Amino acid sequence: MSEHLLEATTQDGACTLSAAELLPEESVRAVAEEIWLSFIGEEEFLIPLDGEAPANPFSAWVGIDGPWRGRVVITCDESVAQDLTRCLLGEETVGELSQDDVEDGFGELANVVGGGLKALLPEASRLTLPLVGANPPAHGEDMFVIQSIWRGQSVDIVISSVPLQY
Amino acid sequence: MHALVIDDSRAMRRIVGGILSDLGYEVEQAGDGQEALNVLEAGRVPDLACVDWNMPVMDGLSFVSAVRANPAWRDMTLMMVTTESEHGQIVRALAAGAHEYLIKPFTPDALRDKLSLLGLVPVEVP
Amino acid sequence: MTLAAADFSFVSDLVRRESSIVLAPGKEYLVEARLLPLARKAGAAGVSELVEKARRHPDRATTQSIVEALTTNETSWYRDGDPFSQLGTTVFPQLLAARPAGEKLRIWSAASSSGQEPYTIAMVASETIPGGSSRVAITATDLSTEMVERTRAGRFSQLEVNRGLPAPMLVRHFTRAGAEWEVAAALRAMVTASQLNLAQPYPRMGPFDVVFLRNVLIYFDVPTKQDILRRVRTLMRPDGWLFLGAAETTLGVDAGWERVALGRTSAYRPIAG
Ligand SMILES: C[S@@+](CC[C@H](N)C(=O)[O-])C[C@H]1O[C@@H](n2cnc3c(N)ncnc32)[C@H](O)[C@@H]1O
Repeated sequence: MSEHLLEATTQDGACTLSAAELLPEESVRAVAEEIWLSFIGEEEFLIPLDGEAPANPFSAWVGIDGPWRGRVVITCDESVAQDLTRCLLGEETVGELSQDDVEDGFGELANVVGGGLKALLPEASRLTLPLVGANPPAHGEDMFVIQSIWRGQSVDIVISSVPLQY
Repeated sequence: MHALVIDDSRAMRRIVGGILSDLGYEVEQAGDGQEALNVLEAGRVPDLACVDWNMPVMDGLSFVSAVRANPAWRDMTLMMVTTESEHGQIVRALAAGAHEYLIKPFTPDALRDKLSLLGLVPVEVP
Repeated sequence: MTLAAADFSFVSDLVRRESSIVLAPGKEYLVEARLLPLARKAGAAGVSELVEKARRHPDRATTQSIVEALTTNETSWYRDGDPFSQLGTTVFPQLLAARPAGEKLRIWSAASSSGQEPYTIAMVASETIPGGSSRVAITATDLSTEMVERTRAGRFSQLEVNRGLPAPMLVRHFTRAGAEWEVAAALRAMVTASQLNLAQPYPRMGPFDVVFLRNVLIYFDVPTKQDILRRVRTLMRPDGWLFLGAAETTLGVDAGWERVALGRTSAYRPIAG
């Protein structure tokens, strides 16, 4: 076990560091920006600015399970989730996307973000399969939000510790 | 050449499958490791399998181990395509028998680079 | 928005003077796209305002940032594959057999960009030569100070390690450092990075056993290519090897080289005299 984590765990192995200490904002942004540039498009920048709250919020989330248990939730407007999925699929997409396509594509985006963040943790952890919907689980007390703008629309990444079983 | 793309995300199967078919591959898809094993057992053994790690039913690592345990499938090239990106995870996958490892997110160029490392892309004649 | 002709010619003259890179008419879109972020950072409204500023106060920092913004740094690990496999299977064994035991081979990566090329050479050495890290010294140079610093740091993003680096090499020679991957200390110890403009006089260095001058001559005009190839030749051992990019050749440019087939690729060797 790495020293960093030894200091960060209690006797029963629970993690005592906060979500923001484990996953520094700068690194989270670096991970997300890379994902946008390679998956969404070469010219697609996530800009570190606060946007307006979405009219129809839609979320995709994954759990991280290890000495630290947490959740990563991406939230944006439903139309933004559609645009993200369309970009993800690239030229392959023609016409309307089904709700299924959007849930699948947006969920995969959360999976990739979650995987990138999991790799920043000091100790091996597991990733849960992504879930998608308008009502993500409530955030615990230990949480922080990373706000960004993509194509003028807000995209939030919320990282929270999950105190209880999910 | 024949490729099997194994991922629980349809979007991901479309992306990887699309790049491969542009390169001239015939592409088949499976949504998890068990579905993929069914394809192999039905006698459709591909030259290349692109394997996600986290999937329901049977994950990618178990699939790789299962393929390696069967001598009849020895000629298959296995490449993990996954968001798992810790040093230790890559070591585990290679030890289980994966030949290459591509980390999500990737660009089409990165997938092509990996295929040429594996000798699985037609070499352009200058 | 298109760039005014006068602005374009000011920028292309400046870039040519500083780096010898030729920006032919028609590359206006490139200049515009590459300089816009720079203009924004400098608080200028647009590219013409940035150019105007550079024209009136041509300080070192502005000039250099314009030149660096207009160089193409695209690179990858084991780029094109064959030159690096031939380095390990043919070039290193021949050179080591010809040198007294204990003498280091000197390699020059002459447009090293962010470091993928010199560290690929370092990996090939450590994989194919017993005690390789003590038998090879790699000099990495580039025009761009930013690229030189990146090479020195030896840190690469996830996207960069995805480009052509075989997974077994990644796990053997890199460790994770936050969101990035860091080259092992043993490889970093083999590489010395410094700034060097290929079109200007070279410092005292060499003689080199192998020179990688890949994917950079394409940006220069013929007299510049001739001059660089001639001066590179004077820094090489008589039995040395030169590797160029897939789209580059000495043929018809500088007669001082012999082209030799190496597997599916080719390399160049200095002709005596
Ligand atoms: C396309 S990269 C090639 C990198 C690597 N050699 C490869 O083959 O992948 C070209 C590099 O040449 C550098 N360069 C351009 N003009 C130069 C000059 N006059 N002197 C030295 N380096 C130069 C650029 O900064 C850039 O990093």
